[in-house]
Order: sequence, then structure tokens, then C-alpha cells
Amino acid sequence: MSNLEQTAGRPLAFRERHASQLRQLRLYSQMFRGSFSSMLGLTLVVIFLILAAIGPYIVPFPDDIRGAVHMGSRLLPPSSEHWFGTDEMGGDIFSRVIAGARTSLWIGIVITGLGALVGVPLGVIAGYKGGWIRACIMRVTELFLAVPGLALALAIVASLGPGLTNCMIALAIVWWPGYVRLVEAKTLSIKEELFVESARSIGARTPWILWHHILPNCMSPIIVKMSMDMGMAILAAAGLGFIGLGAPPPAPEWGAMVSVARSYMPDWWWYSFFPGAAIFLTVLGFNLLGDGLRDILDPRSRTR
Amino acid sequence: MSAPLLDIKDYTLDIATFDGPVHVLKGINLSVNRGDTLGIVGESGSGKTVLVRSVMGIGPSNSAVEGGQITFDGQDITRLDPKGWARIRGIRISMIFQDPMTYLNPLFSIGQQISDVMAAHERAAGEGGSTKGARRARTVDLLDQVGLPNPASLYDQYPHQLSGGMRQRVLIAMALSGKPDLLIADEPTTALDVTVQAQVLDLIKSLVDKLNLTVIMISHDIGAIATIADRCAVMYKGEIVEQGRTADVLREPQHEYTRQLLSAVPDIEAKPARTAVAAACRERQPDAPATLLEAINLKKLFKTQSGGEFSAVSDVNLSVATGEIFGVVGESGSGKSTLARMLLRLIEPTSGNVVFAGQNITGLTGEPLRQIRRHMQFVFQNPHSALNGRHTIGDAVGEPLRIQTRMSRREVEAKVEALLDIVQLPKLFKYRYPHELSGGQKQRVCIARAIALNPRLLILDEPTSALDISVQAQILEFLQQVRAEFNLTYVFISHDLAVIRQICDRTIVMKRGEIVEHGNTEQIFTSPRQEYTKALIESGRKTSRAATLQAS
Repeated sequence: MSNLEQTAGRPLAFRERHASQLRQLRLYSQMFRGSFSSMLGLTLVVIFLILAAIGPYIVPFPDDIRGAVHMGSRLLPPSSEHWFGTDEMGGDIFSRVIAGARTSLWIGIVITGLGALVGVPLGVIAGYKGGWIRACIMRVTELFLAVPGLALALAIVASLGPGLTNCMIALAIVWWPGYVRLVEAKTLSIKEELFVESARSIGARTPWILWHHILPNCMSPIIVKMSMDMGMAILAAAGLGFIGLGAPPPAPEWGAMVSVARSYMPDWWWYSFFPGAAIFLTVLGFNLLGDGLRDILDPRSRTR
Repeated sequence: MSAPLLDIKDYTLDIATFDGPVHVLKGINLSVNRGDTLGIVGESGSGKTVLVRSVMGIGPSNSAVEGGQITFDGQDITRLDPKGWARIRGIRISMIFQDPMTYLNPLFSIGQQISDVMAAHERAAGEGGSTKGARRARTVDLLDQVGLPNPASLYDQYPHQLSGGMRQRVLIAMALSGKPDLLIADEPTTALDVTVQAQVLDLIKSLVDKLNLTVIMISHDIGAIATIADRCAVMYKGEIVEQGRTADVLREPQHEYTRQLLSAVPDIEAKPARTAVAAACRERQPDAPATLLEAINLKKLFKTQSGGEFSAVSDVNLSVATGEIFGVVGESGSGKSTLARMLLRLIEPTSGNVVFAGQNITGLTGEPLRQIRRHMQFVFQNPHSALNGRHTIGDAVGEPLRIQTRMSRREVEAKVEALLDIVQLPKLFKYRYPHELSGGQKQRVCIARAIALNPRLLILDEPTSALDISVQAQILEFLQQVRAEFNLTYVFISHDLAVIRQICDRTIVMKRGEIVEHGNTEQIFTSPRQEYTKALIESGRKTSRAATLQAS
């Protein structure tokens, strides 16, 4: 504290101005690094993010991504040339799985992003305003929550027609109610805090209070839920792809690949194993990351 | 003479934190003989609670004993295993906690909770369990002993049916149920009203005499310690700076810190030397109206869960003159905070009017209300929750400027630094977060925030009750300075009569939502007209006198 006491005359360095934030970050990183599962989750997520970014440029058979046909090398087992083997068209599964990372992560980001974008404002408004506005928003939310998500998404895709974009739209439509529920509950408790009343007493308008006071204090659970939902959304999208409502066949989508590979089980196991493993590892990675984030962001587990 | 009951030798305790170990207790030496009553005085963070919790073996989990030992009745209890503790805790040493509201389980009846404690003790001591009826009889007996009316019917009641004072008595009964050799009381009266405080202190005192108890009582309130304890120890930053007979310590404090602490205690008997701020203020603003704030027949009804109505404030009339400090005093539940929030239009009155500077602000909404808010500000009771933990101090102080003015970012920054200067905080605090500041510093930030827009009226809702006594003295003095500097009018709400007497020009006394007495502060204190006011002042005097008369 001693360095806080003196008033410096010179302009302050970045390090001094942000000492508090830097310390908080160090504390978070120390807690995060202390947990094996969080680090495993982070590593998995980072690997898949890198693959999604540069995957298509580093794969050994870039042509196979778009469904090139090599009838001479159909269904070869894993070897030094084809690490994950080949599929029924002779496509290199390794290349296609890596390229699929981009599609899957993109789906995950869009769905959770759209879900949060719709759900969070509705939740904040419902929680803060109360009265009939809250009643309307919450009843509609509950309506959506009452129908099983994947079944509803199925119906929506069926009516819109299959395809990657429609699949994402459908999943985003069933995804937002979760955020409304979460944020509404959080807002209800934050709006009773003294600092909100204090802001009102200095004449703050409602949008100011929502933006500066309510929302920043809702961020931790939103971030945790988003990181968990990334995995769930990828899984749901793979599920739709499996049924054949996602990306059309030649596109390298994990769910669609598993779906086609199903008929080649168990003799050509590698065809379904590697895309399946990719789905498993991404979902696991995001879930572990979410758990780790919850542990460090949850105020109840926070130590000074 | 036999060995002391409790003997603490060179006890040193560290708590591990992210920034490295903190030395919470540094070489504590303390001994308590059978039949002693020892008081430990200290401010928040001085380590007094950690010390007594270590005696009970319930210290913080990330702590490490660095040296020394605690001996209880000849047995070393510094590093005891859970089994050993089970034979001591609650049976030989028991504890009364600070907040009676949270230490009783709301799902079980009072009697059941006490007899459960008895049963647990019997099991731990290895005696044959007594019958349910015998335990019930003993429980009723105990409840009677702690002065609760109608103990037999109380046995089947639940905690929420009892008042704070009654719950504290129940906790005392529970602590006594194991017939302990040593009773530890951790701030037993802090959460209670003044009149109840005096009663609970009387009770503890009478129990000490009757049952020949050995008591360690912790408090930040020297008055409370002085009423109970024969000996007292003063703790400061993890060390015992002074100990001895209470009367001696109060009369001739040896340590510099004790002297400071004693001089900071507001004295209910002292006739304050009032400066003529109000008059000076009116002189400087001759055009200001004589009456700044007026409440006419203000009333607030709350709907209870059972559908009935409960009137928190009923038909309150008051007028605050420009430049004065207007005191509102009352016990918890008397409606003072509701009144304050209605004056600021933070909650809507059920009926009645609020007139500010000649303008009726009751019906205002939207923009006109926002404009009026510039001139009247609120300082909250608890500075720890009045600041948003996600905002830096600079953001918090600058917030009113950003909301109410069109100042540029740079101008706001400059003004924030000026304001921090006024409240005597270093400019660097701009970049800090509330959790890095102490309670007193946070309250200064709240005051800086309140005066940022140069308001004319400040409503202070118990601004010092969450703070330590020495900090309270500083803040009160500082509030006086700011008032003179900015021509402010204060409405000062407090339950602490000594503080009210020290600073308020005129005062109203509230009870159950009504004003029972109003008038000049001195007049109220020297010749109270109402029975309730008399009782209030008398119980405030009791603890105050113990601290100050012994000192004089």
C-alpha cells in the first residue's frame, strides 16, 4: 500500500495505472494454472482454434476437403501417408477432420453469440423492469424452454430447408432462452444492490444503469455459460449434421462425416472414429474450460 | 494460586494469501484465570476475532500457527485433532456470536436447537443420554435464566418470531447449555439497538455474577467492555498493545493508540462547541430560502405478505433550514431510512408532499426529477456495497459528472482528481478498485461522489455506523469541514445519540414511523419531554458513561 500513499507528480506508467487489473489477472492465471482439468480444457480449445484458423492451409490433401474423388485409394486404414485413413471416396480423413474444425467452431461461435445477443438484453430488461414486461418476456422464454431444444430445431430446419445457415439459425432460435433465464435471475439480485440505488440517486437514467452497473456484474456467469454452450452447440450442430440437416455431403462437417461412416462400421472403424473423436475432444475442451472459468470467476470461490 | 484457565504464550498466526503470508497475530501473550472477565478491544482488522476463534479451534482455514501455544486448563490445545476438540468446544469453551440473526437455524424451533446442543455434548462427553423430557426441562430452565419471558411456550417457537435482542438471549442460553468453563462473546451487542444493547450487557453481567463464569468479551465498543470486564486488553494490528485492569487502562492509557481510541469515543454528555456555520452559510447566500426542505404529512404504507398494511412512516412533518444539520434519531425499524429515501424520491411516498427549495418535487418524473437530483445527494450507510465493485474509484467519483454534465473526458478526470484531493485521498486511488480500500476510505469516496455536483442538500443515512470509532471521528470532522466549504445542508440519520448530539443543530426522534419529539438538539438531550426519548438517552448514557466517567 505504501506506493499508493504517495501522490506522483509525473504522468503514470501503464503498469502503475493498471496495477489493480494486472494483479487480478495474475491471481486468475495462478488459480487457473493450478487446476489440471482447466489447463487441459484450455489446451484443447487453443489447439482447435489454431486448427480452425490455419487448418485448410496446412493439410496434406487440400483438394480432399472439397470432396475430390480418388477411387484408387478408397477406405485405406491409417498409414504414414493417410494418418487417419481414407473414406469411401478416397478422401484423406485427416485433412477433412482438420478442415471440419473451422465449420464446427464457426457454428459454435455463431449460435452462442446469437443466443447471448438476443437473450442477454431480454434478460436484463425483464429483470430490471419487472411488471408486465417481465411477465411477457419470461412467459415466451418458458414456452421455448418447455419444448425440447433439438426437436424444435429439427422442426425449424425442416421448414427452412437443410443447410448450414438454416441449421445455425434454427439452433440460435432455441438457444437464447437459457440466457434470458440466467441473466434475469442475476439482474433481479443486482438491482437490489446499494450501488444501483446510489446511481439512481445521482440521476442516472435506466439505460445508463443497465449498461454500467447491471451488465458488467452479470458478465461472469454469461462468460461461463457461453464457454460451456460452445461445446453443447457444436454437439447439437453435429447432431443435426448426423441426421442430414446440416452441411450438404461433400462439405467436411464432423456430424455429417460420422453419419456417412455409420454404414462402414465396424470394419472401417477409422472413418467414424476420428471425426467422432474430434467432436468429443472439442466438447470436452469447452466444458473443462467453462468449469475452470466458473471456478475462478465465481465470487464464492474467490480469495483475495 | 492455581495455573490460569487459559494461557496464550507468544502465539503467532499467519494467513496465506495470494500476495504472500499476512501476519495476523504477532506474539500474543494473554492469560485468563478462573472467574476473570476479560475484554478485548480493537478495531476491525486488529485480529481480535481471529484470536478468540483460534482459542476455539475454528480459525480461518488457510492459516498457519507460526509459533507459541495456547494452553487451556493445563492442556495444550494449539494443534488439537477433531476428536479432542469435540470434548472442548461448546462444553468447556463456548461462544456467543456477533449476529444473532444468522446463527440460528430458521427451520428448527428454539428449544429443539438448544436441546440438540445438549444431546451432542452428552454424546461427546460419553455420558448416557438424558431423556428428552429432562433436556426440555433444562432448556426451559436456561431460557428462564437468560431472562426470556414465558420460556415454556418459547420452546416451540421459531427464530423468526423473536426480536434481535431475544435471539441474542437464546444464543447465550445455547452457549451456557454445556456449562462451559470459559465463555467467549464476540461482539455480542454490535448488531442490536441501543436500548437492547444495554439489556443484553446487563444480562451478561448478572450471569457472570450468578454463575461465576469466566468470560472473554470482544468488542470495538469500549463502553460495552467497561460495563462487563474487570480486565481488558487493547489490540492493534495483531498485537496486544496494552492490558491491565479496565479502570486503569481507561483512566491512564499507556499506549498512544489507546489514547487515540479513547479520545475518539463520542461523549454523550459533552456539550459540543457549535460553530455558527448555519448563520455564516445563510450570510453567504442571502437569496437562499430559509427552509430548504420540507415534508408535509409524509406517509408510507407497505403491504405485508398476509395482505395487511404496515405503515413504515406515518404523517411526518418536518422542515430543514438552509445550512443546518438536521438530525433524525431512532432505533432500527423506526422508519428513518424509509423517510430519507422518500425525501429523495428514491421510494414513492404513499401520500404527502416533499418540498425542496420552494418546489414541490412529489409529482416530478423524468427530466425535471433528474435535474432536481443534482441538488440533493445521498450518502449511504454501508460504503462497502454502495460502490460498484467493477468500477474504479475514478469511475465512481466521475459518474455523477458524466451523467449530469456535458464535461469532456479530460475535464471529468481533472475534476475527479480535485475531488479526491478534497476528501484527502491520493490521486492514485483513481485507478484502484473499491475492494482495495478500507471502510473509511470508501466512505470518503462516497462523499466525494455526493459532492461532485455541488449539491445543496446531503442526506446522510448512518454514514459512520459501518466504520470503526477512530474513523468515525475523522469522517464526522471531515463532514463538518466540507459543509463549511460548500455551504451544505445536512440531514443526518443515526441511531447513535452521542454522534447526534455532537453535530446536529435540530433533531427529531422517531419511533415506529412517527416523530415522538422534535426540537433543538441540546434541549432534547438536557430536558427530554417524552418517556421514549428519556429511555433512549438513558440507555445510550449507560455505555457512554462507563467509558468516559471512569476515564475522567
